[in-house]
Amino acid sequence: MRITRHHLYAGAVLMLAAGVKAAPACSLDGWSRVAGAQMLSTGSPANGHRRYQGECGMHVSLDGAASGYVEDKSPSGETEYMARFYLFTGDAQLGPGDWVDVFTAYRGETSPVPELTVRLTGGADGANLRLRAANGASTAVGAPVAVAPGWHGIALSWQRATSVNNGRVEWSVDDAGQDALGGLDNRSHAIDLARLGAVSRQGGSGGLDFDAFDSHRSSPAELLLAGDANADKLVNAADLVSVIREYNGGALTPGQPDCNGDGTVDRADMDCIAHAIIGW
Amino acid sequence: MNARSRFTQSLALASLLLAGAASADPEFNVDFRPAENGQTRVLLSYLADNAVTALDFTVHLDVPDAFSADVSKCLGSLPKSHTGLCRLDGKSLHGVIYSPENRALPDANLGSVLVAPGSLAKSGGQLGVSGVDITTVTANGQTVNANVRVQGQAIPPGK
Repeated sequence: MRITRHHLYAGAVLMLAAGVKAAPACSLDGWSRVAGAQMLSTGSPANGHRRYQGECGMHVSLDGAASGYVEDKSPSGETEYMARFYLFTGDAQLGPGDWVDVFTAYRGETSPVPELTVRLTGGADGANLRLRAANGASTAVGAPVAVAPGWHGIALSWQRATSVNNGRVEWSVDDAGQDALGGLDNRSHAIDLARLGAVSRQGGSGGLDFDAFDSHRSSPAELLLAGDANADKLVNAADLVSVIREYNGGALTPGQPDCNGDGTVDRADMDCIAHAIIGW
Repeated sequence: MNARSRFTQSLALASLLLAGAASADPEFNVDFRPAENGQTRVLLSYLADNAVTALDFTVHLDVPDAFSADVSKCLGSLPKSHTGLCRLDGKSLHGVIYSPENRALPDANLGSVLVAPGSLAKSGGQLGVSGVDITTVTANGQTVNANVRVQGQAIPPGK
């Protein structure tokens, strides 16, 4: 799992071992704290972990304790907060009434109060993602977003009010539209802490995977370009070759090879990238 | 690392060799030929350097907005080691070719696009190429230079 180090909130979780063919040494050491460590693991596809970007991902089991998460304490009284992460939902079993809070940003550290929460909810028709923001009481931001089993990119933007009730929060899932809630009464609030994983939950089994967390104080935390396997911010024939090499036993690609987001890198991703190249 | 070759001459000049044929760089060819029933066939072919395994291209056609063509066989002659996709988007012909086993693309007639005379009539006989973008990639993921040639020209209807 990669956290971008050059941005405000940092914590490296990927430490590459020497040698191209060696499995990467993945670590959660870059986070401020790991809670419920028995529920968490990190690794690469070489040892059965899923990843969306780069070589490592974080897995959170839903078969054990009530919560397990990583914590980022680098925010400090932030009046603007932008975050992005990727969530794989394909291994989670969530029935009606089951839910997992997969990301929460808080104000305060010693007695943290939720300011923003992304919740994955089960249902008879499949899973949904929903965002709630503190606005006096916790308030829904837009409608729940149905999510199929697979990787999903979630981008958040939160702003504290600068005068009476003009705070704002926005979010999007997979770049498919954006929901926003303005007029927030949050003038005295701030972001001091963020947690990622199974922060809190009710029911559920299986597991969730996380990758590519990134957070900023001012510039947007943008979603990654699907299919950009070689991480050059383009999708072209070079990405196809990167995926083909990985699929045929070569090095793991540094970018986003899982073009179709199904949790594996295979021929279907080659076809997905080819379609992306010709805009089809 | 210059992976992208761009050809910007008008079709009137396109029969000229645009880049060094004597080099070892691979070559992407676009060749206009008269076909049956007044149609024009745009042939796509490739001269290999034995290193490139995948490529993508965009042929920018010099045609009016109402242009249409049959692209069903655009990459219909690929060697069995390779697969490809082709799409006409307005005035741009997009294609991609790759080998799931990462094999080198050999010399090949890639396929052809068929332009009906009615389509040319709509364009007043105008059919040419204003540019070609191509990315050629070797088995180890390196992009390499490629030459582009455009030859021949469409035959305007009634001329």
